Amino acid sequence: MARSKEALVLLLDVGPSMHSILPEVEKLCTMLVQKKLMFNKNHEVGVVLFGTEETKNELEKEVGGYENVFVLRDIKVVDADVVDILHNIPRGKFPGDFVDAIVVGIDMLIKKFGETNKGKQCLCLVTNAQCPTKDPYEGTKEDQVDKISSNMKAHGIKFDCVVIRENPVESAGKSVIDENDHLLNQFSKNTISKIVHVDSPLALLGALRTRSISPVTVFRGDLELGSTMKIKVWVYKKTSEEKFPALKKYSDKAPSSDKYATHEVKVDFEYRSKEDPDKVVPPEQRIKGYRYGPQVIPISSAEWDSVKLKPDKGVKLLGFTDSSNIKRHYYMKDVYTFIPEPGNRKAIVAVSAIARAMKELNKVAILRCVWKQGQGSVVIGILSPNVSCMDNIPDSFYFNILPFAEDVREFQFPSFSRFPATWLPNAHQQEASDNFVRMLDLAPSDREEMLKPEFTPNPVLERFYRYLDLKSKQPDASVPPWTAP
Amino acid sequence: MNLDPQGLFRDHSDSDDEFELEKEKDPSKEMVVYLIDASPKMFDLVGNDEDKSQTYFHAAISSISQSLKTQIIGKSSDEVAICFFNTKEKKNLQDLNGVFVFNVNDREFLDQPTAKLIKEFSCIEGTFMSNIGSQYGIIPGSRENSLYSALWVAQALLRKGSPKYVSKRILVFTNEDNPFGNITGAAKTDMIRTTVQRAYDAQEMGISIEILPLSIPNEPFNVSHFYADLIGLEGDEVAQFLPSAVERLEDMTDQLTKRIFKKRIVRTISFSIAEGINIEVNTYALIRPALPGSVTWLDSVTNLSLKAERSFICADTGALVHEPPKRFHPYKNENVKFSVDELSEIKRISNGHLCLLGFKPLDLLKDYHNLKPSTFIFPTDEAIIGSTKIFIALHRSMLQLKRFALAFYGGSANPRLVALVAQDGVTSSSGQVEPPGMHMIYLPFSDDIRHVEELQTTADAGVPHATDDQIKKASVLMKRMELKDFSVCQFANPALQRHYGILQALALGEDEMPDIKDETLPDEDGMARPTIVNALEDFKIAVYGENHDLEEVSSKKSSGTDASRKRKAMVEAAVESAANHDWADLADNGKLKDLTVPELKNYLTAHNIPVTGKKEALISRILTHLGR
Repeated sequence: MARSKEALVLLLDVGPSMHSILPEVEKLCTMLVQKKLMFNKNHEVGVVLFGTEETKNELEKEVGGYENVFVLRDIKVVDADVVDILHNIPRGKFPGDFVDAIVVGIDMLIKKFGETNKGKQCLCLVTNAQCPTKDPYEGTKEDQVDKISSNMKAHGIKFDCVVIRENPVESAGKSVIDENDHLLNQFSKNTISKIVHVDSPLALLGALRTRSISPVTVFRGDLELGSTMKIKVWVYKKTSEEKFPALKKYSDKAPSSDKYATHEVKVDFEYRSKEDPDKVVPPEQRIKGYRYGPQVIPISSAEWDSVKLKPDKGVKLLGFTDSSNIKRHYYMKDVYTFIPEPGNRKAIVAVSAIARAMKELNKVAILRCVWKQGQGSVVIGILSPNVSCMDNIPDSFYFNILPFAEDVREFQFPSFSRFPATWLPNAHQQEASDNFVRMLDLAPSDREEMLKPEFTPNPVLERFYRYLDLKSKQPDASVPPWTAP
Repeated sequence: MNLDPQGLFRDHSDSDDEFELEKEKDPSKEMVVYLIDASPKMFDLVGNDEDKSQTYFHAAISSISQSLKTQIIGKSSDEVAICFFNTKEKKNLQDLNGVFVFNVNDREFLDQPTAKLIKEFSCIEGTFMSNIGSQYGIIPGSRENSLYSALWVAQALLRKGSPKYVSKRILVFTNEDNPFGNITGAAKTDMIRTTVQRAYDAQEMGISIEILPLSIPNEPFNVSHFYADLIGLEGDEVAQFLPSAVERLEDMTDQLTKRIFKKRIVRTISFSIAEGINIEVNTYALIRPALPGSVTWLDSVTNLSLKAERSFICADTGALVHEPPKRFHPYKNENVKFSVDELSEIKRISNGHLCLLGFKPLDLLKDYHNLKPSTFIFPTDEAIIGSTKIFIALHRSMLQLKRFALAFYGGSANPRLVALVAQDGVTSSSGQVEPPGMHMIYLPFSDDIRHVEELQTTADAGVPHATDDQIKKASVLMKRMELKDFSVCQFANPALQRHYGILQALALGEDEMPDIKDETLPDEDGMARPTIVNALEDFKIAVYGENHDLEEVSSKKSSGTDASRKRKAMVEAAVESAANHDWADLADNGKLKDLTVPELKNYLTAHNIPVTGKKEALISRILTHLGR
């Protein structure tokens, strides 16, 4: 399908100030490409380095300038080579100019796709943005950026940028950095873009979505506030656990000469009666039984379908309540997001009004949802506001499923104050504990929040993909030792 | 396929984790004898409200039947016996006076609860006086001791099953705190001594005896009169045993129901606070989705359950393979093979401990930082003395500083970052609402979070946001549509209620399918109140403008006809193309498989049959339609 054919150009800063972090950049990029190899085999990838000693790009040949920008790989469908290239990125000796690199990247995309493939091409810049950019031949740097970004917009090119700064920078470079940050923000004003600042190698690994999943709506339709007032919304999953890949069972029965052997294993189920284990009961003679206490009650699927609950599709508002009324630990499952129907200005405004009012009054809404017609169950959940801080992103909601009465066990626990005094901390101990909690602060005011879920990748998956690549080269390699980050 | 019913409130997520399962302390099966006092005092009315007054006996019966209903849905391997004492009639294997074991057909005294048992038990009050009768069994001048007899009967019922694998409990429901109050002298001390001895004997055999007192504020149940000795409470424990006095009967039923369930510890884990400081905590699954029970395949002729047998077949050669030792994953045009050991080694990055990483302000725990139901943790001093003290100190600091703890937790698979949120105890008239402790919330990794909102990003900064006036209208609406006394989990799950309603009806052989009310539907009458209707209308005009409905209708009309025209055209095209083949002939000669999927779909579309599924499914659907 055409929509899966996305193109990505990685723009990597390899200048001297980046050397310390490049091993992590290599990890990030190989992971990104590896996942494309597994899940999005048609995607295309190009790699551009900047800050290199050598210069190799078409613009330099055509118009001159654009020194120290090196096209390591043209835009091609992902393959094993690109993994190897990214494993070992050559280090550069010059301070890199990210604006030059962006222009080279855009040039590559335009030459390759022209007017086609809009919205499916992306530039991904990884830099510390610490080195000054060159002055343009004419106009200001801002003008130049505006020109570039309108070009990106015209060709439907998205822009992702990861800015890594491990240590607070000394004041000397401060003005350059401020200018660069300003320029990058200038980019994001006019294009579809995202700029992420990270300050640790671990966060870098989580900063880019390494696997692109085309999102699927769970529900499209009306959020019914009442019988007369409805808002058109689309519902997506906001979080969904990325599972460990399902590996297939390997059969070694096929002769090694058979090149087309799949080596797959099929699973076959047979049902045998308990009294006569030799007798296999054919599928048409089987009937489903549901357990009720010691009894198993036989009921055919058709009969079951005729009596089971068949609620009508729809999302209905039950009412509003204080957000403090619903404790955080009652959230049951992965999270959904409600987005106003794209392009529907009325829906966008209606969602915005409710979301902002909810935020102001600390309220949440309780909804009853049936996502699909014919679905045999109902969910009750809490709708909470997600007020957008970006001008070009509409306000939306988060939705969390709440438990039903049957889902809760009300075990009784003794109150701490009823415990004997010897089990309770004294004032001195309590003070030590307060200090401990204060000291072990993962979100100090002068730094980025540490171990933010958004930027913390799943270590097991990372380990698996790394090992997979290693094994494809050395089939007898053992599992690399685990080092906690 | 699984015949063993899963414990409903166990942690399903890690059930493939054998190492962890071994560590579980709790025997998974439970045997319970409900000992219900049926003395005349139990038939006193609770509360002053003449119309709504009910008896203590009623509270006991309704809380037990409620828990039986939960039990039959959840842990159906549990066995129960229901036994009244202080009765006129007697029915028990020991033939003791004043003790009546209630039962129904096809069931042993101590057995799994059945639909019939629950049904007859819940309406026992109507016939109790005539069939069983109430009579206080401990009277001066008689050697009868109904409490002693009841304990004896209960203990005898619980004789089967080893205490290693089965947890055995006797639950005593009574409102008499001083059962030997009306006798005196040597007879009294003797009776107390023998009764307590009987209880000790039972406890020696691994049976725990719990007392569920029923009391009202002006007549508090005094456990130290007698029952403290019976259940072996000492010192501080007596003080801790505060039967919460209640005003309303519903609250009493609620409290009893809460206490009937034994707290099941999911596992005991080590919580490492810092280098060299470890404490121990127990984890509990307080919230887990209750699912309809698993399906068992039956032979439709005999209605006996079938045994599923799984076999692995090599796709290339058709040979039978035993559990294959290797797994593979395609990568770079080849198959990379892994051994099972290597795979479990990859997943093993946690030692099963809960490791504290640090603290963050509560507002950094976002609404979308969630993946699955939380787990409750509570400290235990059983193995590491001081665990409770450290836990309480942290708990208090976290509450006071409004922070949550970030920790890393995982067994030998699926490790996760977790947020530990301290919760203070909350108590209401119906008992404890929120237990004190910490809730462990499973956080997503960056891989699990999707940035859907960004999909809607437009390059123009022209996304409208609501004006202050629109927000004000929304606020008014919110105040009007405030849910009064909303509490989480006040709704019963309509799908589950229906499921078990149907099963219960079928189990009892009833023809009528039960009509289960769906409590989750919006309150239509409430919504129709003029204040709400007006607020809604105001809001609608504020955000949509005056003529919204008209615009909607006209736009719908055009789009509707568009879509239907398109659909019509598609069906016509399909009918035309389908006519190109002689379907009956193709079916007879088995040639359907030679056609392409779009060709097959033409037939299905032309005959208005679903077109989803794989090629085989399409073919079989065509064959069915052709009557082959």
